[in-house]
Amino acid sequence: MADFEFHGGFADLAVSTRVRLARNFKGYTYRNLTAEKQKEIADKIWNAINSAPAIAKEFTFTEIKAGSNNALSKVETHQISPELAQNGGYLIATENGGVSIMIGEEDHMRLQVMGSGLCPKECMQEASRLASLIESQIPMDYDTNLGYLTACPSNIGTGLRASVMLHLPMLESAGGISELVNLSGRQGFTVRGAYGEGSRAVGGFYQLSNQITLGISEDNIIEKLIKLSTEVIEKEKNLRHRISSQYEIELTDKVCRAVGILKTARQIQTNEAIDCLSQVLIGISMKYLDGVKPEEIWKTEQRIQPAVLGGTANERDKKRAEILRDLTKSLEIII
Amino acid sequence: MLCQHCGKNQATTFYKENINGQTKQLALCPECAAELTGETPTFGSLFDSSFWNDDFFKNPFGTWGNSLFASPKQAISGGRRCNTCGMTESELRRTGRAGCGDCYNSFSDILLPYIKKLHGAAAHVGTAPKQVETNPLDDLKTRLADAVKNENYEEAAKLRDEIRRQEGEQNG
Repeated sequence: MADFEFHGGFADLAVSTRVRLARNFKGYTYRNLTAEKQKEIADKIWNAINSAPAIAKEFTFTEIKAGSNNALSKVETHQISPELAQNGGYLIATENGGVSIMIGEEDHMRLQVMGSGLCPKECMQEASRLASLIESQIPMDYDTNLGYLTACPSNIGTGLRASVMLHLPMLESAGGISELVNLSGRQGFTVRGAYGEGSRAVGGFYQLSNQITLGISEDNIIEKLIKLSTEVIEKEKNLRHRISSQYEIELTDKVCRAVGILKTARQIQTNEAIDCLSQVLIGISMKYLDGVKPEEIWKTEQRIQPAVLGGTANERDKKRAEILRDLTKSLEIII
Repeated sequence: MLCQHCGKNQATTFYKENINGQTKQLALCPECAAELTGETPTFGSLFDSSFWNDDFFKNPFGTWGNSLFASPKQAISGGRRCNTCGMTESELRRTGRAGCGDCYNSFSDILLPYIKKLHGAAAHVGTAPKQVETNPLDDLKTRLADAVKNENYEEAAKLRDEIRRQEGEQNG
């Protein structure tokens, strides 16, 4: 799967990157598509991909059953959208989930490429490569003025949505999120808590993504996203250094306690786990901790979600604690 | 106070979510609170609650986007239909979604101003699919307009003749 694994920089602060293209095909309506028509579209896309055997061998074609546990767990790992899991449809995806082509969304096709760290360029390149392969064989709903036509006017033009998930716990506690919202808004980007339960984003994870899709080129959107992300990352880094020099004991205390919980807990709920993992991520990037890579933390964060784990709430809490103890076995406090 | 989710039980918890700095608050009963935020997501809660709401896949203009469409007066007046997919004007205004590619033509008077408002632009500048063949005449016409604008009449005359020649070829 090496071909479809994308890793970007700032892995300790930029958790992951996603790029999605919305596309529709000529001759099919967007709504009230019959099951046959939907299958026809899925087959056409699958055939188009199979015209390039080197690419096709990385992909599998599966049916997504509406509301199935399999579908829900794919939502938690961000591989498919909640809408696809709810409606059912088809998924053409690489084994590691890095690339997923969804059929059954409000648009005929949603092509998504995911990577770890800050890698919008790499993800975009891959998305374009796959989109051109498909577009060269199936006529698209495209208008010379409006670009790619989509069910929702908010996606029209490039059909591109690019997002980066950032870990901003210090910016959050310093009250800088509203400033970030304003700064992003002015540049056509939006900020949202990634696990937004309660009044704050759990664990300080925020998602930055473009709102504007028309009148701006794909490259321009990607460039802007990278620029904005690096600016924010820089701010978070500065805050971390300032806080660590002024309140080192408080900061290391929090980090080390989180390590203690993850290393010893016998049962743990999702939110507490995410909060602790957030502290561990801070610890790793501040060089208080060593022995685990930030990418491993991120992967684990997905593995401990309820539908991925399955079973009853009690069983899940135990299983989650087990996974986390296993993850932190090699984690060491080095201060 | 009654739970704002089920409307039946006594509310005991406040549930808050924060999107783009705007806080939404709900008073919930223990069951609904567990359902919306807790560890045992039912199918409904998985899609309704912000906890699992995967914003990435959603319409980024969600909260205010559709409100531009949803003027009740306009919704009632809509009797037009898209010839291709049968979408009515009122449906379009209610859902905020096009029913097919041709809806952008059928309802261009509604959709184009809306698009312009959303994106601050009305013309695509990104990539095009390979198969879309642009008419070479379009390019010549744009150049002609530019030449006229720049008072480059000699160039404009040449372009005009070339356009006439090519139009003759295409028609004949």
